Order: sequence, then structure tokens, then C-alpha cells
Amino acid sequence: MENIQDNTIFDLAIDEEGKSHISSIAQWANISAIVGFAGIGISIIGVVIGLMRVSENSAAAAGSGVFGLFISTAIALLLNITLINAAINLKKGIDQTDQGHFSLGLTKLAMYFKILGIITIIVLVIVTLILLVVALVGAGRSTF
Amino acid sequence: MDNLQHDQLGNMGLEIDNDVRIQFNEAAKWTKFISIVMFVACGLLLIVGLLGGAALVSALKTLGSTYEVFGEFNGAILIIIIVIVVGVLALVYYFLFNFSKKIKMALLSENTADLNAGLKSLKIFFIVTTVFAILSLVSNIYNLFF
Repeated sequence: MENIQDNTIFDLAIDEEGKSHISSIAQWANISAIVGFAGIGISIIGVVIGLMRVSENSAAAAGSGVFGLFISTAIALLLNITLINAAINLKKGIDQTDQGHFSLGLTKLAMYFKILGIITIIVLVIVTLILLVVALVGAGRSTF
Repeated sequence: MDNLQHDQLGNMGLEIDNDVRIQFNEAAKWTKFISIVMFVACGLLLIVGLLGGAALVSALKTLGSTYEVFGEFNGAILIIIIVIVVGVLALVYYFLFNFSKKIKMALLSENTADLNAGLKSLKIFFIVTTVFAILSLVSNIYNLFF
């Protein structure tokens, strides 16, 4: 009876097909993170070029540009570092059949989606606030 | 019997232990949230696009040279573009939603086929999003230097 219970606990297993899928996930996540890092670099270059054109006319615009660049770069770096860590650990876990790396890779992947989810919540809050402000301004204009 | 069980686990190599289950569950929870938010956003985009497509084109035409490219479009073309974009977005996030659904089912029913189906959906999600990210990067590089 005890053996049957033990067997049912381990019914869910990662077979060869699962390993192949996880290996592909790691490979594409790795490429995605590298593309993300390249994107960050291109964004920085783009903003710097933009600032060089704008800064002569408006210091305020330049300041907001640098602030926006700082925030977006920090978020993108956090996301892509987490994703590349997930990819590296998952690949090591599958290639070396190492439970520790596999588990760490999944932890990082879950963390990646958690960060994405939190960013989604923040964006939702900002969009809701903007819509509220627009609605209030619209209502105020129609009243007066 | 006990030895046989250990041999089978040894052959499998990687186990779905408690830690792995927790992480799969966590990933499934957040991917479900993200995909549902994206489905709602797609729905809103579709409604706004269908209701205000023509009005948006005429408003953009009045904004000046930056938006002159929209002068080439009429409302119908814009609506078709919006429908295609929404369709592609919804399809991409369907794979993420499917990952969440299948992984949760796999954890509940101890079914390896569901686990594999969930992992396959996540693989497709990463492939599609990476291809779009590469296209976006190429477009950004082109806009920056040419």
C-alpha cells in the first residue's frame, strides 16, 4: 500500500519529450534575453542621439528623457538578467541531469513571469489613473 | 520493490519534486494573470479600433507631417490592420494561457502528457515572442541609422 502511494507521488515525471521542450525553452529564452540586451543598447544610443538634438533647446525635455531611459533600462535589465539566468540554469539542469540547476532555472523562470506580472499591474494602475484624470477633466469642462 | 522504484527514478534523471511543483505553480499563476490581462487589452483595442478607426485616421491626418503616412490609409485598412494585430497578439498570449492551464492540470492530475503539452505551449510562446523581438530590434536599428 505504501509502495502504491509512493508511486502515485512520482507519477508526474519529465520524460524525453519534456526534456526536449525544456531544452528548446532554454534556447529561445537565451536568444530572447540576448535580443533584449541588444535592444537596451539600441534604446540608449537612440535616447543619447535624441538628447544631443533636443538638449540645446530644452533642458526639461532632456531631463525627462534621461529619467525615462534610466527607469526603462533598469526594468529591462532586471527582466533580461532573470531570463538569461533561467535559460542558463535550465540548460545546465537538462544537459547535466542536475536537479539543483533545473530547480533554480524554474525558480528564475517563475520570477521572470512574476516581474512581468507586477509590471503589468503597474501599467494597469497608470492607465486607469490616466483614464480617470481624462474623464475628470472632460467632466469638468462639460460642467463649466 | 523499493529498489525498482529508485531505479526508475534514477533513469528519469530529473524529478518533479516539491520545489519544482511550487515553481511550476507560481509560473502558472502569473502567466494566467498576464494572459488574461492581454486578452482584455486585445478586446479593448479591438473595440476602440472598430468604433474609432476612421475618426483616428482623420485626427492623425490633422496632426501634421509626422503622421502623414496615415493619410495613405482609409478607415477600413486601419480596421483590418488592427484586427490582424489583435489576432496575432491574442494567439501569442493563448499559448501562454495554455501553458498555465496545462501545467495546473498536470500538477493536479499527475499527468505527464499535460505537462508536456504545457511545456510545448511555453516553447511556442518563447519562439514567437523572440521572433517578434528580433524583428523589432532590426526595425529599431534601421530607424536609428538609416
